[in-house]
Amino acid sequence: MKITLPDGGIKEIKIGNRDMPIDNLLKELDINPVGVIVVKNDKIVTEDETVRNEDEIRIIMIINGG
Amino acid sequence: MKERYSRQILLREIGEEGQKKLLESKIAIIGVGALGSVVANNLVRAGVGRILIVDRDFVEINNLQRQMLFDEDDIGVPKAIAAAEKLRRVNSDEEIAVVVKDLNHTNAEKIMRGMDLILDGTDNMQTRFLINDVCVKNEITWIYAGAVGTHGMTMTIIPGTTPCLRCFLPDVPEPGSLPTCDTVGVLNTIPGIIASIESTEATKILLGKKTTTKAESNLIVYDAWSSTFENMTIMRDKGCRCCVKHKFDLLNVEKKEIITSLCGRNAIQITPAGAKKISLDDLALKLERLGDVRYNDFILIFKTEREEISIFKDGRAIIKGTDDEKIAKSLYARYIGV
Ligand SMILES: [Zn+2]
Repeated sequence: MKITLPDGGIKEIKIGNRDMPIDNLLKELDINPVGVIVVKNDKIVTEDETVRNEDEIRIIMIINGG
Repeated sequence: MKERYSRQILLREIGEEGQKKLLESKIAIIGVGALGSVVANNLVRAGVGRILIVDRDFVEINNLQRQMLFDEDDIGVPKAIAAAEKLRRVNSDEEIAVVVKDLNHTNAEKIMRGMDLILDGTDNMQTRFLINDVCVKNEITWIYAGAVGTHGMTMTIIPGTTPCLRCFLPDVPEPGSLPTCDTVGVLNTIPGIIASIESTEATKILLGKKTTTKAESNLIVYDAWSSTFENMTIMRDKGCRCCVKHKFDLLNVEKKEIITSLCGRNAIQITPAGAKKISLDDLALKLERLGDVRYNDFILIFKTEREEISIFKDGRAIIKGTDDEKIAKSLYARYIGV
C-alpha cells in the first residue's frame, strides 16, 4: 500500500491479506489521529473505515492558520 | 448605487437582482487577520449590505506582511476597529459593525444568530469547532478556511444538507498540536488565494446560486509549492456527534473564566467569567510605576522586563512571555486584579 505522509514523504507498506482499520494504520505509522484527514483512493474517509494493500492512502493535516 | 456596482451588475451571474440580494445580506466575519482581511475587503467592495467583524486581537508589526487591511499607523489598535475604519472609507454605504471580543461559548450564539452566513477568518481549531456547533444548531451556513506555510484549504458547510466539520474531524485538536503561522510561517499569497475562494463561495451562497441537496461537500486544497488545486469529496459521518447526534460540546461548557493558550505565540489569553469594565486611565496610573505603559481608547499594553500584558476594556488580557496557565493567572491577579 502506498501512503503519502503529511510532510509529503512516501511510504510503502504491506499489511497481509486482511482489511485494516484506519485507526490501526495511523497507530502503526505513529501518527496522532486528531486533526488528521485520511484520503483513500481520492476520497476522504472516516477512521472506522478499513484499508487494504491495493489502496492508495494520503494523510493530510487540517489547516489551522488564518 | 448603480455606478458603484456597475461592473458586477453587468455580469450575467449577478445582474441587478443579484446585486439587490447582496445589498440585503447580513454576514459575520470571525477573525480579521490574513484571511478575514481579504474576505472583508472583497465583500465590502461587492456591496454585501451588513457586515459584522469579530476579532480578539490587535495589530502587530509582524501582521503587516500579509494582513492587507492594515498599515503601520494601525499597530496597537484592535484589528476589528482598524479594519472597520478602512472598510468604511472603501464603502460608506454599508453597515459595518465590530465586536472586539474573543468568540467563546458565552457569546457565540448571540453574536452569530440571525446571520445569513458566517465566514471563518480564525487562527485556531477550537473556535472553528465552536462556530460549527453554533451553525449546525442554528442552521446557519458557514465557510471554513485555513492557511499556513505554503498551502491552504476551504470548505462550505450547509447545515441540514452537507456534512459538517466534525464529520471528518471527530475530535478537537489540542492547542499546539497543529502547525500555526507563528510556528512554521506563511507565504503571504496563500491567505489571499484561499480567502478569495472563500469570498467567491460566499458570493454564490448569498446570491442563492449554490444550492445543493447532496449530502456531500468538497474540501478545496491548494498547494502553492506543487501548484496544485484539489477538490476532495467529504461524506457525512453517520455517527457525527454534531450534525447527526446534535451534541454541541463546545457550547455546553461550564461558564467560568476562560483561559486559552495562543499556540506558537508563547502567550495565554484570560477572559474573566463576568463582564468587567476596566478604566484604562486608572489602570495606567497604577501600572506606570511598575513598568512601561502605552494605551489608547481600546487597549493598554504593559511591559516589564520579562512579560508583556495587553488588557482590553472588558477585562480580557493577553499575557505574552509564558505558556504556563498558572503563571499567567498569577500575573493577571497581580497587575489587573481578580
Ligand atoms: Zn457532522
